[in-house]
Amino acid sequence: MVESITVTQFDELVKRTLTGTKELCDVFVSGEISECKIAPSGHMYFTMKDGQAILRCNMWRSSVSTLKFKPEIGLKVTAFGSADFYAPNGQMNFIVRNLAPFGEGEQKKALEELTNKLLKEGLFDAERKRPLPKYPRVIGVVTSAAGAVIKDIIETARLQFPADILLAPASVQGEGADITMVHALELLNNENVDVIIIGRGGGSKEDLSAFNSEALVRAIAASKAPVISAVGHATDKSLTDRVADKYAETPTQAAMLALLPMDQVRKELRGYELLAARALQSTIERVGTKLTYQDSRLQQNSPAKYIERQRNSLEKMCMRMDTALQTEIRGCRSSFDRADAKLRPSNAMAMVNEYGMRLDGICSRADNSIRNILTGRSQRLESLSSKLESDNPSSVLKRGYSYISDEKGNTITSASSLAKGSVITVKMRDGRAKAEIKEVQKK
Amino acid sequence: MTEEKRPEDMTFEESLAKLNELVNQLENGGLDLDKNIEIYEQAVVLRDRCRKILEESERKVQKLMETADGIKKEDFSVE
Repeated sequence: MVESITVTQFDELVKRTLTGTKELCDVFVSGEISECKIAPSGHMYFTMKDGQAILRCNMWRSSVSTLKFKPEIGLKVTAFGSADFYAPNGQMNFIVRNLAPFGEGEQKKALEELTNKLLKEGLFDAERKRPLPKYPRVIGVVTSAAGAVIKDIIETARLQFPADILLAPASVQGEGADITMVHALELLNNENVDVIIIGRGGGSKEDLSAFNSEALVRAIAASKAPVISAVGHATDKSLTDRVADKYAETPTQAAMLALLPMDQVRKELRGYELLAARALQSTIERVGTKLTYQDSRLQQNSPAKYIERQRNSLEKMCMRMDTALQTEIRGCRSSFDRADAKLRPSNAMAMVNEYGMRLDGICSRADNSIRNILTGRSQRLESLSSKLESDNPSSVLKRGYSYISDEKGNTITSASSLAKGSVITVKMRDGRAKAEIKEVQKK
Repeated sequence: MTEEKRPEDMTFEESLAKLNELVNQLENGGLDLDKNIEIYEQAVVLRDRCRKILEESERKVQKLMETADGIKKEDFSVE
């Protein structure tokens, strides 16, 4: 019996072989989309073909969500993915992880090179960006006359600072669109507009190519008026967006960047008005204060004030004089009173009496003294007289006593002054007798 | 010396710049009352000019047309 394997085993073998073959993994395949369907699950099923063959492709929902363009039948694309085999329907499928329009890689490379070149030239430098005029008179717009851009700008501008809008119509997509925009920019610059908005509505990537044109980028850089770009592709900035002085995501936003809201402008004007009024008011107040000051100085120096001041000082002086005079008078009066008191007759009599009494006292004391002295003296005289009487030698001699004297008459009071044979005179009460010493005896 | 523009010939920006200058002069002070009043009066004229531009100016929307006779402007409106 011939040995066989089951279909499942075969299919598994095919799957293993396909998925294990390096050449069939992570490969780029280019072709034209011939069928294309997105299932409700979000997965995309499509086929790619060239002249001779077709390839069934699956793109899972997660990969589909990263697509940057809409795959359409007839579009040439390059798919990146790996081969797989699905046993239930016995088909080989190319599982696409990434899908891009054919030739995008080259375009991308060319754009990168251009970007780098312009970057090196400094065309995208922040320093090159010019400020937008605050109150433009005329806004130039470069866009399609038929598109939504100009409509949005006109609508928005109605509520903003009033400026004229000058449209320079241009093609914004397709072959030669960049040249029409370059021309429109020139025209607007010749018209001396104050600011230019260049833009278009959103769209697919291919449509942006005109805004990545080197000619347009250089024209924007050379524009006299500052340029606002509103290319309207938030995820992918064009070179126009990068070179422009301002970048807006939508035409409406561009119009708002170009023109201030009316409310804000009115507010600013009102602010100036208030400042001016306040400044004037403060000047008036300052002048008023000065006036009041000068007036008060004037008042201070008026003749009436002068006279009043003089009167005041005169009154003060008079008061001082009065006080001084009063004091002087009081002093004099008190001296006078003292003197007057002394001169009163009753006082004088009292003094005379007092002196008389004092004189009487002195006299009586003097009398007494003198009397005492006299009494004392007379008594003493009497005593001395009686004593004298008793001491009289004659009286002694009367009482039987005698005395002797030598020949010369000297009284002898001592035996030693006598010697044997000395002649002495004995004096007695009633006469003298001469005698000779016969013997001297001494005690 | 360039002669100063008359307010009615000034753009909004010029009027506002002049208004700002006058307000600064007023705020800096040091001027006598007569001069201040004169400046204030000028400021009022400029304010009126600004208001007129804001409130009364007609917003023109035009389109540039290239004709055989050169560039022309014509009114533009969006349907």
